[in-house]
Amino acid sequence: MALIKVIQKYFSNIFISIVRQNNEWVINSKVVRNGTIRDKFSENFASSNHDSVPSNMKKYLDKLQTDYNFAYITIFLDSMGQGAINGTTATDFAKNSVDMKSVTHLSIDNSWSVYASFIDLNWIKKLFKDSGIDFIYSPFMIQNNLIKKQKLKEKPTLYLLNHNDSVTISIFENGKLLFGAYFQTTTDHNIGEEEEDWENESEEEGLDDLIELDTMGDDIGGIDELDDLSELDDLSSDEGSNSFEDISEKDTDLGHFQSDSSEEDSNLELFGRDLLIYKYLTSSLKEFYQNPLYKSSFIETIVIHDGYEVSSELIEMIENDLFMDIEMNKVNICEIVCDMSINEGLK
Amino acid sequence: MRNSFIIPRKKYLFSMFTKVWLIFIISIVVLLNVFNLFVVYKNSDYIETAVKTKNERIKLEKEIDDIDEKIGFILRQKAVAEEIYANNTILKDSMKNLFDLVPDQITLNKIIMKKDSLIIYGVTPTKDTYDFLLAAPLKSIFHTSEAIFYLTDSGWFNFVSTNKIINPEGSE
Amino acid sequence: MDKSMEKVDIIKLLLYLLIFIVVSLFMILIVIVPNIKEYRVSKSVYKKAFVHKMRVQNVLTDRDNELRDLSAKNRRAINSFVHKFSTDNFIKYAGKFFNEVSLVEVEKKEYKKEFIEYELRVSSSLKSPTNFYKFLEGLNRYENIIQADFPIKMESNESKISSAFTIKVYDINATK
Repeated sequence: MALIKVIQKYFSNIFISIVRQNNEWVINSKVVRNGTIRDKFSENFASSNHDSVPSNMKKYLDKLQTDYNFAYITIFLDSMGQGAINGTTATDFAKNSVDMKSVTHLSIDNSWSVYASFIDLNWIKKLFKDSGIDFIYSPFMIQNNLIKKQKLKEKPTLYLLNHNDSVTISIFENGKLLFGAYFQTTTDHNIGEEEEDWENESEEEGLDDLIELDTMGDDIGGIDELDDLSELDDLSSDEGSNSFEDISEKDTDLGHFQSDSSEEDSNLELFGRDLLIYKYLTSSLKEFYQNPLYKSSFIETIVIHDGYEVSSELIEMIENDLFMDIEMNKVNICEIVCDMSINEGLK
Repeated sequence: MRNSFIIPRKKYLFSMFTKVWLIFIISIVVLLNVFNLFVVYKNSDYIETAVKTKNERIKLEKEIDDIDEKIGFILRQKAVAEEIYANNTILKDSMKNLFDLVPDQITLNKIIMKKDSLIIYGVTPTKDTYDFLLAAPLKSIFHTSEAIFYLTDSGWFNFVSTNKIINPEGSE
Repeated sequence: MDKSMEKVDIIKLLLYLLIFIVVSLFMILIVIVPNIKEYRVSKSVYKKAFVHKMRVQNVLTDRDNELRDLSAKNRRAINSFVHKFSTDNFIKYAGKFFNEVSLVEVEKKEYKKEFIEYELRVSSSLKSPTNFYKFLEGLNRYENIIQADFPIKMESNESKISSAFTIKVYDINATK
């Protein structure tokens, strides 16, 4: 009823965002009333198992929902079966090898679409069936939100959203998405997926494919550096602790590392992860340049929204090897999800 | 559904608990009100009917008065008629008495009867006949009784008997 | 999820219970009870009026019956009162008993408002006055209310008796 919407903003509304990172559920809550934020708090729940919700977390969510009359629960969707494509029609979906009939999709700005498979959506709905869900956000929508907040870049730019467990890469030109790719960086997700034509899926299958990339066409400047990829491994072992000094002060609050590892180890792991990111990045670029499906133009800038950590090495690699300008932004994904849900719930 | 894949759940201002209680309380209030209205209606109905009944009763009382009047009228008429009838009967009886009174020997020529006097003109063979046979009864009926005799050629007497009854209130 | 029906919030429950009790009590005491009192009063008022009317109605029925009774019993007299006096009829009646009947209206001697006075002169060929008796008797059953009155004159001529007496005819119009 529209009447409820009018009255609602005068009451306390609680917006709860649930983001999974590092074997943990991070729950950020903001209480909004009369347009102002009255309270905010956050709670973490350890859970090694991605398939279930810990009972104390259920109790926590129940308590919040009984305390507040108007509660919105938002989930950050981090499952594999999602992506974004340019275009909004059935032909566009077919061109990108996405089965339109088995996904839920949103048309953004009448020019591009975000999608997620029914299986994944139903899975997450089932997971939270006791508490209920109001919003499910794709990382691409997070990116879109961040992009819209900044100055519009006419030239095609690559945006990278870095999260604990995933990396979202999209190429925008003039505020419209040309290419989108989503990668998971942890492998503790185990959903029984059907065999579908995901370009993402193929890229997730480890570094084996990267070897293929070496054999791809060579008129793209940055990709030549892939030949040197093997050198990078040497690099990591050669450099030792010097280059990691900047990162050494970083907090080892990263869930999927063993807690008492030495800083060096953690930095190593970080770099290892960054390497993965780099590989994803380069493969995405390659895909973008080579695949005739995408209108290719040279990408000069990369904007990184970092919700986790990136090492300086990665930045150097991107600058030097890929000849791209980098803009770094630190973001709090949990908070962004929460804020987005506030806007959507009270609009 | 601008940013999210799903639409949010419906939000209610009142929880089910509150709604149940509200509905319960409101129903009770409504019920009590209905009952109250019923009572109020009955009240006004009674008062109205009582007033109507009172008016009807007054009409009936007036009818009774009318009937009483008519009854009185009839009774009066009845009394008048009966008096008249009685008077007629008395008159007849008096006449009868009078004529019975007259013996065969005496012949009457004229009788003038008034309210309290009786004048008889007649013929009698002898005075004594009159005296014995007529005068005595007359005297017993009337207060005064006189007779004047006239001798006729045949030897009988014409007499005029005047008899009066004295009324205390006045006569004739 | 609206779990409000599963976990009972005691405070809310008690609060609603309190509201319910207050509201109900208020309604009953302030609204209903006075009306119930009024109801009793109005009902008794009605009942009294009704009983009163019933009594009066009974009286009316009795009186009505009385009236009917009287009317029936005194029909003849009542009709005789209102019947218009016709001299012809009376002469005819008198003619049954007498010969040579004549009726003359006479001025009222006294103030007897209800009557018109006539003088009736008759002659009868019979020597005995029996028809007088019959005439007088029949007068009580005549179609008008008539009183025979003094003075009465009777005279015996050769073969008949002439008499004159006053007839008072009750005239209902005279009293109006």
